[in-house]
Amino acid sequence: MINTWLTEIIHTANERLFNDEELARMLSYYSSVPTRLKLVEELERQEPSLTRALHKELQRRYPQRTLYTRRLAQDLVESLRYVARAVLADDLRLLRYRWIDHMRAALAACDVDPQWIADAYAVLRELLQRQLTRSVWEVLDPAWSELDDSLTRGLVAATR
Amino acid sequence: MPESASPFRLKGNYFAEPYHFRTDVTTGVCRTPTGVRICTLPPDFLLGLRDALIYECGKSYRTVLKAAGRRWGSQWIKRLDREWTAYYQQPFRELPAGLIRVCLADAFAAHGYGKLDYTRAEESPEFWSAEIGDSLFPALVGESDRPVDLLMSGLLAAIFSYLHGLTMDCLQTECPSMGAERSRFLIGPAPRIAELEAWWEANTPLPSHEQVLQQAAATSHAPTNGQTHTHQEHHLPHSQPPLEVVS
Repeated sequence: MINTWLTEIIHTANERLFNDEELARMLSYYSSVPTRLKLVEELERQEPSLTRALHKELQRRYPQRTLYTRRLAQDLVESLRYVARAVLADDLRLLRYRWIDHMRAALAACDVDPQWIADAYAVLRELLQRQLTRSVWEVLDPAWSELDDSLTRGLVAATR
Repeated sequence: MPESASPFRLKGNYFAEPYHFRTDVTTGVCRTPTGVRICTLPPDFLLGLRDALIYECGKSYRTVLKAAGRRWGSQWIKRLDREWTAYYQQPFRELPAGLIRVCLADAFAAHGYGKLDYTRAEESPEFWSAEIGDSLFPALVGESDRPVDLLMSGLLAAIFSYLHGLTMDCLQTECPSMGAERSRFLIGPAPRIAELEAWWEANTPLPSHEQVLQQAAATSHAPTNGQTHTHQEHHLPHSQPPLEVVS
């Protein structure tokens, strides 16, 4: 896994002392690593049950939306791997490059209403919030907000 | 791409994994996750290759370079088809057309070939209008009185032939080496492209992309009944393992 911001600090700090801001960010990051690792473990462990629950819940709430296949539910749950890696590295750029940019382009290219994917993620969020502790959810929250923001109609339309 | 009623999928950018192109410094070999060997060919090599072809083949270097692109593209898209089929756990060609477009754009960007986009030509639906931003050869060659993105023309022809199961060809209509912003191409059934290319070559100055599209619409033929999506791959020998170019 690449921690891009940490790598950049180490590269640019070559043969000089770290400044206060860099030290504060690194210390803050290292103190949160156990929680971040716990999140990754939790998400990995819960993948099969989350997929089943998400598919069932989407079919119950939106029976008319044929977009919500089991495979798409599985894809969305698996997208949490990208989220988890970005959280572990504390770098949202990884999430944007690996998942969000592709998702936005795919939604626009296939004329899929981004609100439908946003709805699916909202259900997934509810399912996750029931199972994750508050401290774990706190480290996940910035990445989740990034996902939510990317699914606004304006942003998707802008990629067309 | 052929229209597909396949369910929508979201799997992320296949190439955006860390170390997608992984170099083993002890052996000096770079490979993709599926083990395909990748090598970097620098601009000096590519220009040298082009110059040698011009010297050895004269005017027919354009045909040779495009054929090389076609051969390369035929192998490239077959490999990507295998890899994407495994990634999506369903046949790649059955994915929604828009998703195939996004995957191909991801592939072009990851390999450094530029920013690809294409749409079906509204004026004449048997054709596809494609463009590549920051394409390689125009950046290397500089000024020219003819389009120079011949490798990409061949590559696109091979990709569309493979995905449509028809023999398609590609005509580059605009090129940064002639002052355009980006490389633009018209892709369609090979006989139709041959007709258009003959018309295009006979005109001075060379017609723009839009003019070629208008000509395509004006000379549009009724679809042939036999032109279904049966798969007719190019009969190319495949004794060599695929070796790809990253520039």
